[in-house]
Amino acid sequence: MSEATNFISRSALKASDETHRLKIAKAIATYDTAVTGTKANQFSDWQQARTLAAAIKNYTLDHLADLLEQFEANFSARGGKVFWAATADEAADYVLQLAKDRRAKKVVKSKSMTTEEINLNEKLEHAGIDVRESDLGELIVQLAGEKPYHIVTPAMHKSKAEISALFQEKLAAPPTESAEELTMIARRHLRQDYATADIGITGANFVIADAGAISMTENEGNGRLTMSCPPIHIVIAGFEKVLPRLTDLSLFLPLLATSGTGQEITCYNSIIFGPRRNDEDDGPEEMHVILLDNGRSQLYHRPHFREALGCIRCGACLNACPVFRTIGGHTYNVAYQGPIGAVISPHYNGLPQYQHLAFASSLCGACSDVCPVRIDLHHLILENRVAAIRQVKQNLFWRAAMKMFAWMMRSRLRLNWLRSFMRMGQPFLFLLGKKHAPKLAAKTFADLWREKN
Amino acid sequence: MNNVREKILQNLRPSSSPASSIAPLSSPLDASIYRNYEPARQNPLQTFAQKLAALKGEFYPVFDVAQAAKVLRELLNNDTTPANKKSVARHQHELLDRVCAADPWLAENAQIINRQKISSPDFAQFTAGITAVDFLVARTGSIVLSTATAGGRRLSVLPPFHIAIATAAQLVVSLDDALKAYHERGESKRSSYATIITGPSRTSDIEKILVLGAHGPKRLAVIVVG
Repeated sequence: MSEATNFISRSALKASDETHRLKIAKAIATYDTAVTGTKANQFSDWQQARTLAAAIKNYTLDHLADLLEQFEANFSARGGKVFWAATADEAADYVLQLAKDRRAKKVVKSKSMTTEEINLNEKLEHAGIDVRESDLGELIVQLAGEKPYHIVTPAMHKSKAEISALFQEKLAAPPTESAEELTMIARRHLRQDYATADIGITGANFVIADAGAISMTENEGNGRLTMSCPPIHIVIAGFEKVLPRLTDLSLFLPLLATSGTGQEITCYNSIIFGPRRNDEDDGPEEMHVILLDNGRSQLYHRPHFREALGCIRCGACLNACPVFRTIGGHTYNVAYQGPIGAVISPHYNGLPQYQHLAFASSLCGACSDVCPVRIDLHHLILENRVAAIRQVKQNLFWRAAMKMFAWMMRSRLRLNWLRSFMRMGQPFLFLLGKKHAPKLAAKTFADLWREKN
Repeated sequence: MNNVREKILQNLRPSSSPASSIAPLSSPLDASIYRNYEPARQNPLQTFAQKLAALKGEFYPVFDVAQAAKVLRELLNNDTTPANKKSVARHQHELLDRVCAADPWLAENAQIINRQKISSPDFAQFTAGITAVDFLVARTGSIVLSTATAGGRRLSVLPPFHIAIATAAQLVVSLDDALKAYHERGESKRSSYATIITGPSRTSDIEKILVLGAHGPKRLAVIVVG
């Protein structure tokens, strides 16, 4: 069966799963309350902040090559290594080779969707390396043998009871219904891993050109431990994560926190300039930054789509999307779910396989309304739909029906004829599907107009 | 240099001069965007205290190093860790040296970790870490640390209790001020690592319920001298 057919059957299943719906509704309601409050309390004008952010991102995308070179020069001068990867495999192979050269047996990771994009965990595990996810949500989905459900909240779909059952089974933990105790179980479980890991792998929220630095946002502290304890730190980042100046963070950190979790700023925002300096007491001896293309260049040159590279991965469009809320994150079967996923996934995974995601949208525009960098998501989804339809050979019946429809719509007389035909056929509409069809009015607007004048 | 690099860069370089020529936005950015900028500017210390308290951080304003030493010792004594397990670490820093010199117990018990190459398992035994800071940010209630002022990367994140000691002169209004000042220090005076800390470690990954002390410190106390 094709990915599209599977997508439809998974969607149908999730859409009628009421327990799932309740869990997601509750999580998103909590999120909405926090975000509304923070927007109002922190920003004098949220719309202006979005406009500024979009302007900085547009500037960045127009000067992408220069800014990346600037980052590379500044970062390399401190002994950091930069590797450019054209594909997912090149990025993963670089990590695997490095692990092999350094005889690494254990890797500790903080949350990174880019590593999901390149399927790094599977490849490392296949090479016999022990991979430990350290973000609480990521740990939960890793133990459950699942993929992250949501780019910001990986375990959004799991209740306390389910997590407790999982911890009892996998970590021999005592049963508990308290979120705090569950968090402490995870804390104790991972404590030694930071100390014994050979490599720490993180993502990057921003790559800073003028400082030659990586900016990483988190709340738990697992990211800080991942980049502080192991002797090697590897960062994997899409090349579009670059920002021109260190001071741009004074806008982007609060913007990301507000849209991501409804916080004014997240608990830890680390800025990493390179590996340990000679006069410093600790920190990794080596630091590598992998700048990943994997389809981004293609997106960069496709008309209108460049702005999609401005995405800061806050997840706001997922939470706002009525389709995401109904079918859930796993149904998408891609690293980036929801509206932004429908826009970029076909480019990262190959259009023929993932074009159906463009149809997983009501095109209501809620995603574009909440996007903190003003990406016109729903129009880009529509563009992907057009491209998808143009690529697929329609079957003969469908093409004939569409030609017929166009011919009908082009003349008033034929349209009137179609209308009376539809009225006759209306009582039988229920045969076509589950939807309840509204009754057609007895008289059309044209009829009424003629009578009144 | 791999040729993938050349290919990617070539591909991203515009054929004509870039369409958007708007200069990146000018500073101070924060004044025009943030509603809570003006109160922070007018009363920075009070705003810092309120913000930190709202984030479940602890704030202790003191007049001098002697009083700072007293507060610090009380914090360490009243910590719920059993007395025989208590293990306090600090690094060498002018302000911390003065505070710890003001109390014989601190002078003896706060272990100086500089230049010791402590392995991470050994480091995990510390129950409290005392550090200095680079900046205090009023608007967000954050502290900014770098490797040089915080005794490395681990001291402020591995121990379950982080106590930061600062002076009122280190207070700035906004994030923009702190980042600009840090950047302008220049290459040789910047550490390999800096972090903006806003409250104790937390998570909401389970049913969006807030839990303090996920992987970083469960408690954060900030003592401000002056």
